[in-house]
Amino acid sequence: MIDTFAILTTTIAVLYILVRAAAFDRSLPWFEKDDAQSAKAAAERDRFGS
Amino acid sequence: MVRSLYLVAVYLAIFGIGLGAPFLLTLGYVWVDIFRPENVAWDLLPDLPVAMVMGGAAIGSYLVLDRVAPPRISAILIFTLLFCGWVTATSFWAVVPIPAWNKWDWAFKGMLFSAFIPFVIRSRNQIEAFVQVYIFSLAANIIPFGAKTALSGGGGYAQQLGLINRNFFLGESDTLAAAAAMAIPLMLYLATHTRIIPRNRWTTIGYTGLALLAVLTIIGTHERAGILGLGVVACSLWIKSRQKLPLAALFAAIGMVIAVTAPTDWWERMSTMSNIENDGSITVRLKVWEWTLDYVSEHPNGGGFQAYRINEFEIPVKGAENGEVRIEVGRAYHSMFFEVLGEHGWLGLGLFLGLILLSFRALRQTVRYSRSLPHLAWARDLASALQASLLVMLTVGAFIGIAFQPFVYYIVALSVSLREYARRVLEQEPAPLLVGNESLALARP
Repeated sequence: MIDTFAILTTTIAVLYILVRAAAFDRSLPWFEKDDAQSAKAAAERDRFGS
Repeated sequence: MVRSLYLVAVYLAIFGIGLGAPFLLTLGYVWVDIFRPENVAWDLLPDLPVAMVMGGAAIGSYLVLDRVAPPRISAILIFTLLFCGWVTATSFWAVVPIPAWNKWDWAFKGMLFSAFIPFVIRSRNQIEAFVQVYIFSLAANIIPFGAKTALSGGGGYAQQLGLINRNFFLGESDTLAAAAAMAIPLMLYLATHTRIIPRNRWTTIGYTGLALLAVLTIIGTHERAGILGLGVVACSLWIKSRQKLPLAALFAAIGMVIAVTAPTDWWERMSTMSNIENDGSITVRLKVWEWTLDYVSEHPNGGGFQAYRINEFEIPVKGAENGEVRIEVGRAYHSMFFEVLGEHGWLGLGLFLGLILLSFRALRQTVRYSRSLPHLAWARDLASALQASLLVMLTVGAFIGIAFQPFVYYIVALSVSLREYARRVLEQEPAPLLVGNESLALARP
């Protein structure tokens, strides 16, 4: 049960991080966020690449 | 079967999200490389090279779609590529060719991919995402191991309580202890600087709890080197802390809890650290190190991966009065320095140590670059956490053969990404506190 809990929590966390990172980076249009943090991340992406 | 189905679905989901940008595929590779779904449950696609597919897609998409503002050709990149070339060369004259090429296969991929990481992990968002994915991929083994240790007092030396039930990678207790100790500074960094997972009271509790599970994992492995690593983590945290007295009290409290709750067999194993004469494993290590020095004196270019398999020496039988000895054959190095020396000779050891020293230098430069810019406080703190991880690696690695484990090269790659980020920001913003050669060097294109 502990193993299953670890697999579920960590994989869900990784998927959540990927979606959030993509959203801030504006890499995936359907996850785009329109806030200051995303604007800064997207500006850095434009300067440094994505 | 359900677990396999679930992991296949997760893999496909990560790959799907990854198609959005090369850095996302790179993060997917990190998950596959650390979590190792094929070693956890993989009944459906046992022969599919999942890491190669994800890594190849990351590199391919970078070459086709990206290539904006690549990092400078740094000394770390040159050393990494030279080291990749040299370990390939030594594999051609390896004394045990088949095991050597088997190890080359996984070691080379991790080293080469680390050279690629700074090309795609460039912004703050990407750097934090990299650290987060690495920590949560590792946590898949730390959570069960730490929780089972807390519930049962640990399973004893060399017991496998994590997700991987093979004596390989994080299924090996010494490798897991090393990875857990190196991850603690990064977990504590995320507790104060997480942004991708919005920071609140629960995230602070979560990351701190994860760090405590890492401590429990190290205790549960019964690895003496892991305890030394914990000591280094505690010292580095204490030195950098502004609240030295409360932190010392906290460490003392944790130490007392461990002292009171640790089982007898754990104490018996730890007590051997101060009793070298009577400890068989330390005697064997010293003999292996002596054999390695003898071997490279005759073969200065090393014997290729897994050269330890040909060692053979005598060990006095404990308690025997008539000089009785036993023969030991093919004993592992139990030290990353002797591992590199025996396998890749003096040049290999020089390149490996050079990589570590250059990583320290890159992190020190990051601290210096970010000192004058308050909004780069996160970069300074991450550089400090990575320095602590490297110190832990040097300490633990002196007694565990982790020279070619991927997490070592992830720290090296992150040091480049972070230094390059701080340098780029500084180039575009005024740096009033920089003086002399520093500002001139940064002003160059």
